[in-house]
Amino acid sequence: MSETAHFDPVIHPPNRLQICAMLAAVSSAEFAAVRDGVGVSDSVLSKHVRQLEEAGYVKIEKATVASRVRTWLKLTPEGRRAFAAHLAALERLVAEAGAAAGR
Amino acid sequence: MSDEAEARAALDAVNAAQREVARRATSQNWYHWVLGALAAVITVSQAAPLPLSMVMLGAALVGIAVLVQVYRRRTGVWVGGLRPGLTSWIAIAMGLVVAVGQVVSVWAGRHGEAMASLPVALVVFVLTVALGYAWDAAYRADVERGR
Repeated sequence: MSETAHFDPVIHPPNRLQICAMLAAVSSAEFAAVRDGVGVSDSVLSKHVRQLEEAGYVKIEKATVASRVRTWLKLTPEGRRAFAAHLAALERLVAEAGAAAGR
Repeated sequence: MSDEAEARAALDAVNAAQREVARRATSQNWYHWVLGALAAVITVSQAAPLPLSMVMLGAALVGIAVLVQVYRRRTGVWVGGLRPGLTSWIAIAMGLVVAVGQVVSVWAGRHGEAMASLPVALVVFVLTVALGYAWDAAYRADVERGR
């Protein structure tokens, strides 16, 4: 991975890491799909999404389809960079631990 | 839990979440068949006489818009065709197949061989469906590799 490794405390909590992981694999995902994938309630997901949005990592878009408002989430370019850097930091940690143990 | 174990667990969770979203995104086989059929209609429309050609083209374009909406509603995700890696090349190849099919169809129509657009449309249909499945496979492989 070419990203500079950087541990990001905004992304690191397990639920937020899963949210970012899902969004990193797609262009955008519906709120309900992310909620089901992470396995949390609407309110818990809303809280985490708000924190990611405040950090500038997630963009929220509302779309009305058949008179129903659907919320779509997408990682911003900054969010993609931060997630890649965080993954690189985790991979480096594992690699260093493996090297220290002679694996 | 050690830092290493915590990092491994986090990476495993990332992989699991991304595999799940890739499964969701590539679960709609019907999408390729419908897209292939619409690409074939676009191809034939180029050899059809006016105003039939405009009606066919308009219907196919509306069909593509509806197809995307239905896919998004059923899967809850959207993956743009142009993303890093092999998937971009497959999407470009699909665009080229449709473009070449249209050019050949226009040529056939202008030379009084409108019926020749039918086998061309069949080729466009088959290649579009095949490239759709290839895109799914490439996307799943990308996600497995963490791209």
